[in-house]
Amino acid sequence: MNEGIFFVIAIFSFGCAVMAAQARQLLVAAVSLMGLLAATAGIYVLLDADFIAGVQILVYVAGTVVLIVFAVMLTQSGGKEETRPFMRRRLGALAVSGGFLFAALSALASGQLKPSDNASLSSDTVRPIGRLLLSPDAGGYVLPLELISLLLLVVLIGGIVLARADAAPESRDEMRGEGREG
Amino acid sequence: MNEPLDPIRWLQLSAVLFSIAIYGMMTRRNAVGVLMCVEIALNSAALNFVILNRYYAGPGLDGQVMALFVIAVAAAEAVVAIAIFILLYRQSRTVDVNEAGELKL
Repeated sequence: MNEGIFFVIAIFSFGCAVMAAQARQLLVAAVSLMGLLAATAGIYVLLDADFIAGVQILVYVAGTVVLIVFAVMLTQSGGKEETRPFMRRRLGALAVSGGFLFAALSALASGQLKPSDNASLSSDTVRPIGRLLLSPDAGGYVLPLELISLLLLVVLIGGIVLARADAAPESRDEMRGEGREG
Repeated sequence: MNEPLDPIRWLQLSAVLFSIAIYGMMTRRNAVGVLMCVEIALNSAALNFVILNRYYAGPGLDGQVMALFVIAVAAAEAVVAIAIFILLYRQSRTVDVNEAGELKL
């Protein structure tokens, strides 16, 4: 790991994040978001987290970004540019985010974090993660795994119910009521 | 250029990305744009977990498991948010966060 690789990835991530956060054409922002998420997957590879890098590409890049592009298209936000925020709003947002950045960087620089090289790392992370996810003892994550499955099921059904094409029963009653009075 | 990298740099990068996401969340008017900034923030949170696990935590891969959960929850939340945006667009023909003051479905 040397500073050169870090510098390249850091500049690329920074550029993509800035574009995603303030580009007025939403499709440009979506593509920049894809670039940022892919750069993060690269960072995961550099940090010896190969399984997480794969999951990042599969779920985030090939899933969430595609979903966001669908949303941009379905809400007709792809054609027109977003209106420019007023200078006062921009300055306020810059102040808040700058304040957060200052707080975070000074907390990092306070020296309370002491590096301890994680000696148990091997290049195969799938097996240990799998064991952790399925183990029911004190350090295991089988309960959160089951809860996440439940959450994904609920979200799947809820998303379909919310966004389905036929009218909801309440609006059908409304239409029937209007017909009687008219 | 070939000295080992101080791992604090990764954490600083993640903090910068998060603050960019905060700026975007406060500035954007389109709801899908705000969702994109939320995804940036969640991504940097998961990145934080992996960095801390690799360089600062004890043995074990708990940080990576946490990052896995963060990614899953972020995806689930994006689905629900987009379903709401689609409903909002159908009702009011806009997804502007300033105009969508009353969520009356």
